[in-house]
Amino acid sequence: MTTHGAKNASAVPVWMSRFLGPAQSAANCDIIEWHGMGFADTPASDAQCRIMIGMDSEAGADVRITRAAFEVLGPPVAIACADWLCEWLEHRTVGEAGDLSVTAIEKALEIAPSQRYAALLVIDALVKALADAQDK
Amino acid sequence: MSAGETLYFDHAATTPLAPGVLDVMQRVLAEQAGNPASDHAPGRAAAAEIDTAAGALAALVGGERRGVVWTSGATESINLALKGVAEFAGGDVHIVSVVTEHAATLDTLAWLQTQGARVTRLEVDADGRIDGAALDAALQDNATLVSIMHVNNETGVIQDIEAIGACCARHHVPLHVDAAQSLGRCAIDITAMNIALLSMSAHKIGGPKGIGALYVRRRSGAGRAAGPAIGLAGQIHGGGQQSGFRSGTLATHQIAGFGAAATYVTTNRETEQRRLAALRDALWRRIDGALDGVRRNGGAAVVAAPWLSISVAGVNGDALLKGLVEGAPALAVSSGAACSAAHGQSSYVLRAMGRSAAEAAATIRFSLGADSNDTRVNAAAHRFAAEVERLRALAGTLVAA
Repeated sequence: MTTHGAKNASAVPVWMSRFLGPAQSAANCDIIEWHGMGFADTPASDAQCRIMIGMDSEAGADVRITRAAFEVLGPPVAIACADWLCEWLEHRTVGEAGDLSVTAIEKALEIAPSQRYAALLVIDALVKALADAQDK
Repeated sequence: MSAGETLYFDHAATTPLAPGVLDVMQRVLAEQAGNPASDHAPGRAAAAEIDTAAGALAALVGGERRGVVWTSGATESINLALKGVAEFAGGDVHIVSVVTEHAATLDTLAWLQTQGARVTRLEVDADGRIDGAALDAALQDNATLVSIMHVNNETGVIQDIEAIGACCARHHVPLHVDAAQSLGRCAIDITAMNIALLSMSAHKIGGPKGIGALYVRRRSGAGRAAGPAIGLAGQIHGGGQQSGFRSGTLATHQIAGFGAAATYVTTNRETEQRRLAALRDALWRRIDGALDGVRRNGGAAVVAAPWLSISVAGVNGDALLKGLVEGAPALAVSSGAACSAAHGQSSYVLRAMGRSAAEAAATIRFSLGADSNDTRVNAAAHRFAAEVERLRALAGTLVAA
């Protein structure tokens, strides 16, 4: 509970550390060619996200994602969601990736209902990346 | 500068206590237990402390001590000024103000409109200043009061109060000035500037929070008041203290602290503001030299010394602010406004100056103060540039998209 008119200084959100120190940024990755790339943005383009995935083979639901990275131009929580997603994706199958829900991201990062758009954003980008990989 | 120290560049939000202020407040709390309205020795001793503080504050603005009405801060002062003049005037009330005012003014004006008042909000140019001709035209429409902030809280842009006051005097319209950010930073002379009402806050000049004042021009006597007394209806009713302008027992220690801060800045203002202007310009040069896509808001010639407002391309405003204040070393700065362009919450001040929603959203306000020095300015510039570069790297190809 916060004091009226003041912010609760001790309430640093769970996702903040991922925003401050993301490990899955594409900037930290030397992979040039990805198997799939997907882009999504919010209606007013305040948040844009690109998810990139690399796989251990070309096709099939059992194919595993070996590497994932992101680019985000957007609010801190969007960066945190993208970072969590890319870490979670590694070593998952394409089928498992396709089943990931917004709720799972919300729970993992304890994001507020008003920040749900960030989880939706990265899921949308993931879906497009998986489709892109399937098309190749 | 020590390890783990927060680099504090948010003096427009509030300032640490000025030297000597805490001592004065502790002494008054310990020694002056009387009610300053009481007619006995302890009461008179407390009243003397308040009289001393009023003298110090009046000296800072070129006024008389009897013109000082103590309030809880600038927001209350502004409410008293606007509502008090409107109620006293009655009938067809027309208040002229500016689109870039603080919410304390904008929200009070909006409320007055619901009570039947007319409000004209003047636009500003790309530097954030009003057009004198537009003011002159607005004053021809039976204006009751002009209310303008001296220094903008987000950008530091200074309005030419002397010219505005002269215009008001020609039209015989009283002028209220929101000096929350200019007190102790800019020269204020209520007579030369034809100011009828002046709103002030202690904690912006090294005084305690919770105390402010409204300077009210009183009937010309032996003093140097310019223009007629201003008609003002009190808004807090009760014991009739402060000539009925603001009832309630005065907080002697808070007022004494405000007075001590006023005395301190009266002595140091010119030297200190020159020092801060040089540091502020150095901060800008270092940031501008390290980064592409940065823009300084407000021309340097019309911005008060402590302010540096920077709009940054290629980053999200919320991410930039959070990265600076939550990362290490922490850089205590402000966006000056909610910072989501998508949610229509970008700075209305910067939008009024012609900035795009995206530019206005990704804007950081540095405001320097007594603890600012070259070491901290260097550290802040380095930290700011590193955070912008980090966020641009996270955005990767999206920055150019």
